[in-house]
Amino acid sequence: MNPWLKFVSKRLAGLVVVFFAASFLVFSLLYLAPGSPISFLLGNRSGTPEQIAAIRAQYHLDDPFLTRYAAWLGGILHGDLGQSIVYRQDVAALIGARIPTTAALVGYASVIILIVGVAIGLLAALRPGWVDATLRGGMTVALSTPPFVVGVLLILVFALSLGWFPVFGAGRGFADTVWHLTLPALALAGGGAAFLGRITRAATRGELARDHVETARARGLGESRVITRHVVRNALIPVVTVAGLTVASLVAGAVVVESVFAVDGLGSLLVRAILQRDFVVVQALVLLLVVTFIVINTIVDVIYLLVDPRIKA
Amino acid sequence: MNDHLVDVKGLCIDAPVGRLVDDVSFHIDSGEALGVVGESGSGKSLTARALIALTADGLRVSGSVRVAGHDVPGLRGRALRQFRGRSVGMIFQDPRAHINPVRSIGDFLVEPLVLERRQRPDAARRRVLAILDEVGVSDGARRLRQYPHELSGGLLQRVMIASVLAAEPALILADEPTTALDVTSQADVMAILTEQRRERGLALLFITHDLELAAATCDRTAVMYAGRLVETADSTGLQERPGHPYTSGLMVSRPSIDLRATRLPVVPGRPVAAFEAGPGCAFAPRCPHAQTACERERPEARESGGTMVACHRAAELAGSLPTTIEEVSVHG
Repeated sequence: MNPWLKFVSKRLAGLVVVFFAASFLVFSLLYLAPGSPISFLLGNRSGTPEQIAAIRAQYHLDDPFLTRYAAWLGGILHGDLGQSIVYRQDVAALIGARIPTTAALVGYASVIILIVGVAIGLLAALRPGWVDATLRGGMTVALSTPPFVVGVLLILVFALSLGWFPVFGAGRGFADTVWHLTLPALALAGGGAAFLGRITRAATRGELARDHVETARARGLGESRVITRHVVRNALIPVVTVAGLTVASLVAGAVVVESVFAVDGLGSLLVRAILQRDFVVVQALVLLLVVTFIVINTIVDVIYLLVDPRIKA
Repeated sequence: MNDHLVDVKGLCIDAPVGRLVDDVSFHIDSGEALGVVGESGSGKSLTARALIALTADGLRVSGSVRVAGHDVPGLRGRALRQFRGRSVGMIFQDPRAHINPVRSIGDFLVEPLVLERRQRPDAARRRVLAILDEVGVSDGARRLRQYPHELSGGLLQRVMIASVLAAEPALILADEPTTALDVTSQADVMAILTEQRRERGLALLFITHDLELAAATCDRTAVMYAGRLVETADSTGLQERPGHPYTSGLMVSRPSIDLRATRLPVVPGRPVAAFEAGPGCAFAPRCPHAQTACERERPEARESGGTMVACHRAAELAGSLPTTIEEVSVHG
């Protein structure tokens, strides 16, 4: 069998296993969480035992745990994520309407992280002295400032004072969306770009000191070729791992940033659902986050094969 | 006298901590092999690196280093790259560390030919395949597709030798090319290196710990101690009549097949770096023949009949220094 095919099918099988394990965890954790949807549904009224029983029956709250899990999972596999308790709408529709916004935000931030992170990392590694020191200082600041602080600062400076960007909303159409999402994406990307920059710098420095780089120089290769073909090429291996993990974690980071910028995406939906104890929505969203994380990691594993021949398919 | 391929005069290499290579002078003619023997830290690798301008940035190189008509320390930019790519080839100690692990053998071998010499990729490939065959790497086409981790150390060192031969240099620098290999591959690799070098008439600077190996493969042998050359001589002459007590000490501390020894004789004390040595002979504190003059005054390198020895007592000791463990055991 083709080793590539074998590798990918093995990874896909692993993905399925992780999906089932994660879905079980997500479901059971919320089952164990304090607070019950009943209290929300009833509001401040104290319902009669008959009313409560009716609600429990409607949402299958009295079924055994495993039966409920099986019903939920079966629904998901058929594309039915259930009904939101609060909005009385299909969860699939609630989520589907917001995926483009969050995907645009996360995609935009990923592009910033990859380009800016790798660029400043390389620059810091290859220009020792004040360039390196300045960039390293900047990276430390960016890394230690939480996204909601960065978000508020960006709004104050670039939206309110300078008026270059809108204060909130996601925009319509490509150009408008990019314009609306620039500040949120920057807030979301800051820490990741700094982290990737540090990793890139360390990996590049480490590679520069390696013996095979001396060989390349001894053979008369030009310095720019030594850097691109040997130093950067080899430093890519750790950079790809960290880039994958950083991008995967953006999906979770979007929760905070969307709230700060009042962007109506999956993140703000999740926050609201948690506050309102809308269990069905929370379960679906958390599962979606987990699946996204796993899928991105699988993609990273495949890229790994391309950049490091020592990893056997 | 002026047309030596390599002509090094008064080479000194200084680090921030002090001097590492001190006033080294030697020459290598076209097609000639010079072995440089010394303990770790004696400056032999640094000396070789100075011939290809690969000394680390923090080191200061002074003195005259001329290789194939180039003033090596003065080379910069394109001229330096062309010199490294065409005039000199370097074989490093550990091929596994010195060949990029994530590029295929084919990429490694062809890279400078295509990028720096503008050969067509398929022509470069054919050429490299032929050389692989000559250095005893079978199934070359498959090897070119493989990666370094898929090859044994001995095979990888042959690939390194092939990469140097492909550049058609006039001089090969070999920095302990067999130290990282197992014993059987050591002999193979050494045999291939020697054979290819002779066939192509290339000069060789061979760096090793192993005095016997140097003498067996090289026309002349130089012995380094504490960053200085203490003796340079015709290899057979050096083997039979060592002129410097240190050379003799190295020979005597070799185990013998015929003699059962409970303890091997050693050169007492520890080796020093050039900057740690006193004003006199750097070897004096460890030398069984040292006299007060040796401690005070640095011995000049004296040349007679193609042999150079830097020892105050060279004339008196000539011919009397032991060369084997047996002689020492009989005497004491």
